[in-house]
Amino acid sequence: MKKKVLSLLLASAMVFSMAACGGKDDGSSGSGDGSSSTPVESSSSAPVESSGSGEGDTNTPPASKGTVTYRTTTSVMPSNWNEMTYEDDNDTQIMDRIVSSFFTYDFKFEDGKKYRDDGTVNAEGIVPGEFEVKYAAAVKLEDVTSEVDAKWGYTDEQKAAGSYAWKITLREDLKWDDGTPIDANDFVYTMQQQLDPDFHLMRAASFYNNIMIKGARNYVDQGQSVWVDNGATGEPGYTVADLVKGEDGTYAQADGSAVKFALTDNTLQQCSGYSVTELTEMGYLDADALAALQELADEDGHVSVTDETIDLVAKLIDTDNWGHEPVENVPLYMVGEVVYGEYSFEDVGLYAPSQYELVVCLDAPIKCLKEDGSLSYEAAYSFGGLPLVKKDLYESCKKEPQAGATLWTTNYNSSLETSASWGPFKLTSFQSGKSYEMEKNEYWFGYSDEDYKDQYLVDKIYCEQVSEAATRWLKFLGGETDSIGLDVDHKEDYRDSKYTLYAPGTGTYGTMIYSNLDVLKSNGRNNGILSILDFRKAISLYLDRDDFNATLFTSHKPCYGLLGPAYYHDVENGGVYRFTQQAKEGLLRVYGFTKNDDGTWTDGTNKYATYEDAYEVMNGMNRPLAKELVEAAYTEMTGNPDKYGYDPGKKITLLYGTSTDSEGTRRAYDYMVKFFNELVEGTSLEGQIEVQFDASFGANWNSDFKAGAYDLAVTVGYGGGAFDPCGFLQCYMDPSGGLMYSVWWNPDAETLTYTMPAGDYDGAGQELTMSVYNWYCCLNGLAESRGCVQTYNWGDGFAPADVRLELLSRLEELFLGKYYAIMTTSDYSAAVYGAKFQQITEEYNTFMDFGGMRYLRPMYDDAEWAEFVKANNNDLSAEYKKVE
Amino acid sequence: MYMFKYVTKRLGLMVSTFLIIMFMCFVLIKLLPIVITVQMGQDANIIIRQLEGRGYIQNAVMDPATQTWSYERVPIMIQLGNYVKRIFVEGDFGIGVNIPSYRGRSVVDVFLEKLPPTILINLYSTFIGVPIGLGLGILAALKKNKWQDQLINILIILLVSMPAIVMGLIIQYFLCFRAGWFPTTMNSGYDYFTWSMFRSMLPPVLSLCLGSVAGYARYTRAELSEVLTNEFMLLARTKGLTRGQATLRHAMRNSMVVIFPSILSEFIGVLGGSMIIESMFSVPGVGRLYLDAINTVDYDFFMMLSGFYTLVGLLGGIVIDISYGFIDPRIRMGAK
Repeated sequence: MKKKVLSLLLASAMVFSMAACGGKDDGSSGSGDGSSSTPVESSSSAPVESSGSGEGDTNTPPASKGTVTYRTTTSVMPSNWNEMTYEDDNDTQIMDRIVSSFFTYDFKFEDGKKYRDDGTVNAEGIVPGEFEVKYAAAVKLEDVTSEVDAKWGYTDEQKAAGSYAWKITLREDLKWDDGTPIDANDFVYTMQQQLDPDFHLMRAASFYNNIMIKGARNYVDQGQSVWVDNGATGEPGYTVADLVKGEDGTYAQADGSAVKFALTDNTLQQCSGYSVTELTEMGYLDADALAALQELADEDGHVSVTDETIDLVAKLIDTDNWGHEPVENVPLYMVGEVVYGEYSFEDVGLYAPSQYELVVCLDAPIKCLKEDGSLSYEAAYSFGGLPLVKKDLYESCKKEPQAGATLWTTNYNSSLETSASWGPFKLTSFQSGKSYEMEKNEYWFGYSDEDYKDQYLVDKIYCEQVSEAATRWLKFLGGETDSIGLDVDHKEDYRDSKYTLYAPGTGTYGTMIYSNLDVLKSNGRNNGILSILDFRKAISLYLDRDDFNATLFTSHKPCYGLLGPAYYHDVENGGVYRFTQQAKEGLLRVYGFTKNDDGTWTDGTNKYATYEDAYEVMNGMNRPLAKELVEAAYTEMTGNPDKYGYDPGKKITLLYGTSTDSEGTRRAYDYMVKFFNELVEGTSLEGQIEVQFDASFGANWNSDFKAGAYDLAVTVGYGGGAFDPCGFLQCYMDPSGGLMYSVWWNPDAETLTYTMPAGDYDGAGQELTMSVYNWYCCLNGLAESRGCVQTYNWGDGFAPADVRLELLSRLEELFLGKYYAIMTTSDYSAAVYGAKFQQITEEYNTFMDFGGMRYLRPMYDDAEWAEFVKANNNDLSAEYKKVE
Repeated sequence: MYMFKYVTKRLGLMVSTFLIIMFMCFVLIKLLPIVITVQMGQDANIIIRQLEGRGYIQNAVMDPATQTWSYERVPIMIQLGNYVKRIFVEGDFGIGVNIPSYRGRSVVDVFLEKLPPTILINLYSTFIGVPIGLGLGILAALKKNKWQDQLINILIILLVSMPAIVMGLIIQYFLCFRAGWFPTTMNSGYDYFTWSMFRSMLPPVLSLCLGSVAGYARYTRAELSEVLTNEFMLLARTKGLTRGQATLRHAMRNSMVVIFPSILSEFIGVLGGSMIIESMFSVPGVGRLYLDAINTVDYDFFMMLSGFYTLVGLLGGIVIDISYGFIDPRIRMGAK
């Protein structure tokens, strides 16, 4: 199965500096109300910190007499809850409640007993950490790979394997909030709008990067032209003989498309990440030939292919340093123009064979059904729903391009008037920059479905935009809102409260250290020492991650790897990568432990019977060794001052860069100053290092770091992709993904040798040496499509799980051993939930959160709550500080 | 006639100044780098196409070595031409692009939606602040150097030296949270003229007007004290006017030459300076919108709101100047 790297990272987020220090915002993130009807982003089933909530009763809400309103706040109002265009988590606050999904997650109940005898939900019967996938807006799902029309081009192998084409049968009682019926044709119409090339709607990519609907990309890209490397596969796609010479002497492709030599493109496979110009500057290629070509180049650095330029390129590559490449290889330096032609929506793999049936044909399979025919987690995760818009309303919301622009736009689902719902709630008021209110959508199918009995007990949801944290807290403590994210300012008072719940997230952060010597030497900060591995390793070994997180964050916890404890390698069985033997042993090796021949482990001082024992005491620290490494780095630097651009007369300056100057970033800066002072204390570097603070990088912080504008990026990293830990490596070793911080490191140039474990899979038992990038591609089933030298496919299902875990661990270990990233922090969020409601469970569930809006149990109606608040003198702070 | 010429001339200058300022704003904001952020799960190609489609950039390419995008800007003058054409031909001031809460929304619609609360809060602030401020100023002037004057002076110093944000915090904590007299934030909705809405607006109004009260009182006390010692006041009393009549008819009118423009300028100042108070009390006004537009470099919002504040400032200047003529007939604008 081709790996869907980006798809599983859909809900990812990037956190910079102290952006996360305030904990999850209650409203904007959706965590405040605990709602996650479509839990895209997942977390771990790891032991959850929970200090309890509510009164500890049986989660049975008292019979409410009046209206129950859930009130919350957000720091950023949603602006666009259109499934086709939404941009961030703020938008999903409304969106998640006005849409439905074909399949949905639910708690798993002991003995399948979801309800007590009195008809209320059996809260005590919830099985911690487990889940079920159920039909929601769909009633049937069938694998029709072997039955669909031949035009979809499935091979016999694909038909045998299945999971490429699915038929979804919809409920017949689906309706919009005004009672208009919904059928399969509405989904087809919506997909056509989603992929419309005149709009380029934000979420179109989900349907060729995520669930990979056949023809989706062709439909979106029609009319565009791109330049494609002729040597992308290592062999020329066309030779000179294949080209057609025009009257002006210029060659073109057989179909008339242009072909050029690329002088500045560094995407040519033949140049291994460099451009022809760069290789010439490095002395590999012929400078005279390049100069002659440059005179003929256009503004894009492209040169028309003529007999003259063919000779020049032949001369260019015929050098000693470049191994006298033969003239036959000249076409490998060509790029050909590809124009995406017109594409009919008839050829996009989504159609409705009948009024309530929908067929989806995919390029990559998704295992939506288990062996026993029941729904797999993938059904709800990857295939939970397709976007749906109300046709007449959507058509009226289309806007022509503005003057000077070419794209059409839409304002569908961006205001009360342009909104339509087919979910459990509908929007009833919306005031931009202020508030929105939702009420139950009486046309939603769930309210008449037995499986939703005693659920959705909230009548209204009211959310107000409150930017100031102090105001949010006053409202919460005054009983005006029902939840709030715990922040640093309040953590001492409320972190042990019985109303506070903790939830793990996928975000995994660290301190990125700029290490490109070429740039460090010339940045004027005299800090070439950062390029010395020993120095970076010393930083890692000296850092007390417990103290670091306790000082800087509300609820985050120490982390030692690239992936935190919320990454599942085996979702159905709750297998968390971080807790596997392979992952633990990998980290032990990174942090100085070695495995003895008898299977015991040692850190050089103590001996541990098992890897578990060793892992238990591992804290990532070895301060004596860190001091030695600092000394070694100093010796290396002072012994080679020219190499490192070291000026003994100047202090070494480390620039800590951030996007904003805030209390959080200042706190981190103070920590860094203290840390480096202690690190070099008693060494030859004592008093010679100065950490400076620069908060001027704003939104460009990422690209500025990559360019070397500053040296330390603290608490940055990635989250998301919880069910695809192998794909998550993209963030650190796939240059084409555009996510790597350490852009100076070329994973395609660094090799790893490893003997594959024995077994029944391709490459088993072989000792293989290949580039890190190649290993990554093989692990994710991308090697063939990416044109790698080795094309093993060890993607999910193509190699034993243990082998994949071992490879993942080895690659993680290799990158951590570079010390470009000193990993420090795992994302945990904490929220204080008000007494008006109670969560149905205090055990965090990856798929169900604490039950979300669906299972929220009201303990008071609005009138009763007002009385309760009044009885507490409008100040609930004493109540919310209670531990038991 | 003098006045007509003067006003015409000032209006002409105002328009020229306005256009120059707007031109500078447009060029300067467009000179800032365009931030292209592609999050995971998003297709960079779509992001780029959208920016190109909006007429901001052209020929964008990604450098795989540094993983950063490079692009050519559409020349700023061409963008300016498109912008002006859009406004005058299509009546379109643009849509929000970068402010998360207003992406894709017409900037005019958002602006008009947000104007009433800002105007109302400032009007209420003025309506409450002016009589209290003038009253305290008059009392202090009449009781100059007595205990009442000292007390008022102390109050003025306290209020003047306390920033509106501190005043806001105090009011929010004590009056809203502890006493429960007002809601912590302004009510939602568009029914601005109900008692409930007015009550919810009072905390931000008080936060804004108490500083102004001190200003008005200070001005009034100073001016009135000076006027009260003038000889014509003695003459007025000798004509038989009571102290109250002399103060109201003669002293106050002379003092207003300075005080009235200060009220106008205070109103304009408050209009522009209420951003933090709006944020604190969750007032859905334009102040916070302007702040967001600047922070997120949202071109169309920035231009619209810069135009608004520039216009308010320029018009305010003209109104203040013209008001001198109405308050004091001896002053003739434009006369030689």
